[in-house]
Amino acid sequence: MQAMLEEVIRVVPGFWGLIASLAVLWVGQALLVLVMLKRRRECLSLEDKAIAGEWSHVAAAGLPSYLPTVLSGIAPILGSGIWAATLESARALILTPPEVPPSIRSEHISLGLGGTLNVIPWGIYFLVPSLLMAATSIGLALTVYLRRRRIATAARMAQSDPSAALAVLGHRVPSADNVAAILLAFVLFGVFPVLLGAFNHALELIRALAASSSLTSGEDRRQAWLIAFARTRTAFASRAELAWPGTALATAIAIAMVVRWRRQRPPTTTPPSLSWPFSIFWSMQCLLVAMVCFMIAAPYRAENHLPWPPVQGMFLATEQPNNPPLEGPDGVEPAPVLQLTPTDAHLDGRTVDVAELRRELETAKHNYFLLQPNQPYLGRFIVLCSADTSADRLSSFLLAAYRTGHRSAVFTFTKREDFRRPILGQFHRMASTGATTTLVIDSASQSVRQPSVSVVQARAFPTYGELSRELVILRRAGKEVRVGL
Amino acid sequence: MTRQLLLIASFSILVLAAGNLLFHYLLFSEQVMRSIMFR
Repeated sequence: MQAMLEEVIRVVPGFWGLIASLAVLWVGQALLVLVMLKRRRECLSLEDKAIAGEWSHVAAAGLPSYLPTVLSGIAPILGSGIWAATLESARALILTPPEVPPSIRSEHISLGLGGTLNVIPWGIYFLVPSLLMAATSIGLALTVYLRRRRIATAARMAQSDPSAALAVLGHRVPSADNVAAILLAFVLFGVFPVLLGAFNHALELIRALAASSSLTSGEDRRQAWLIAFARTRTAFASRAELAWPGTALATAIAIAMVVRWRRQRPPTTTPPSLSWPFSIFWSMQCLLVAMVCFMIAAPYRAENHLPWPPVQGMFLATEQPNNPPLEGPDGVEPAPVLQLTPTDAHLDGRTVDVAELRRELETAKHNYFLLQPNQPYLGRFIVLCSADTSADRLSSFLLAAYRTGHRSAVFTFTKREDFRRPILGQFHRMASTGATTTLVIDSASQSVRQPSVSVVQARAFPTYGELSRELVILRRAGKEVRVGL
Repeated sequence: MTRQLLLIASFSILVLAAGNLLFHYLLFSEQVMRSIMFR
């Protein structure tokens, strides 16, 4: 438990500030509920005085200020704002741009994931009592408003006709106190399904993240994440959709209560009701806030509904200049990347010449066996090459690789894919496809006579542009391709 | 009665709009996480 709490404190941005500000809000809201309860008591005593005919007391009592009611409405909005700001800080860490050094970026992403997934349930822990307190205090404020309005009407009539004034008050209309119950029904049936869905969504994602950390392959982890995303999203949506019938139910409860108030009253009395200006003003406010909510939600809705491009296959970090505009039939798996142009050569981003390439690949192979002594070494590597690189130059590098036991060359073609998301903005990635081949030296290639195997002599082509076209044609025809060096 | 119904109806719309915003805003976290695979 302690370890879990320490983890939450570590990953949630500004944890103590968040807790302190939300605690202050909670205390403030509790005080507002107490203020409203006190007002209700005062109002009931005023009603008693009016029924007893002490109209001078009634006339002397001023109307209560609107400020506590407004504050009761603002408090959960303010709390949600603080929650959202914390969530945004955690999200910003996940969105650390790729230009940031990889070690710092991965640390940021890890912190951001933990932060995002913890802030959501913690925010819901805060928001639930906050909404309940807001509904209670606003409900009580409306109750007081309804009663005070009735008392004021009676007081005006009392000067000319005291018996008619008493008839207006008539009875206490107990269900007028249930305005708080109406608001609580809206919170309970209209908002809670979404909060419950979000809570489960975050917990399920934490579980999926923990489970996927045991997978060693990046591709497996990616697929596990995609499955978890699809599953948790469906569960979240199905819970959140309950808010529609829930709101309808709360509306039905509210209407039933209003009808009950009217039926309960003796025929001669005035039912507690809202004034037209009050009703119109607050209806407009509700609709205005609803419109703002829809407008803020619009880009998020667009973002959530827009599908992502598929993520199968490998995406390379760099673009190869003058890469042949081809699409290979084979997938590309992670392996050392040899990049060649007529003037430069790089292995995994480091500049190499033929001798250095050989040394580096020897080391890579050696390290592989140190780390995984019981696993076979596939000797696979990726070749990214400019179309204008001469086949002679390419062959000399491939030969060096061949001599270190790297005989499975995946000639790879990149395609830049650009796409834009409504909120997350511009993305670009280098999708890759390949033509898988086996390197052979000239003498070995001569001995091949199988129809499913094609041997291509690399040096028979002037440049990689021509060679690569031939390789792709053969692989597409389903041939096993061997490249003679 | 109409006055009360007017307020109840607009409040119902507000609750639905707030729930919709809450849903999409929180679900957006998933999109942020997905974006890691594309950067």
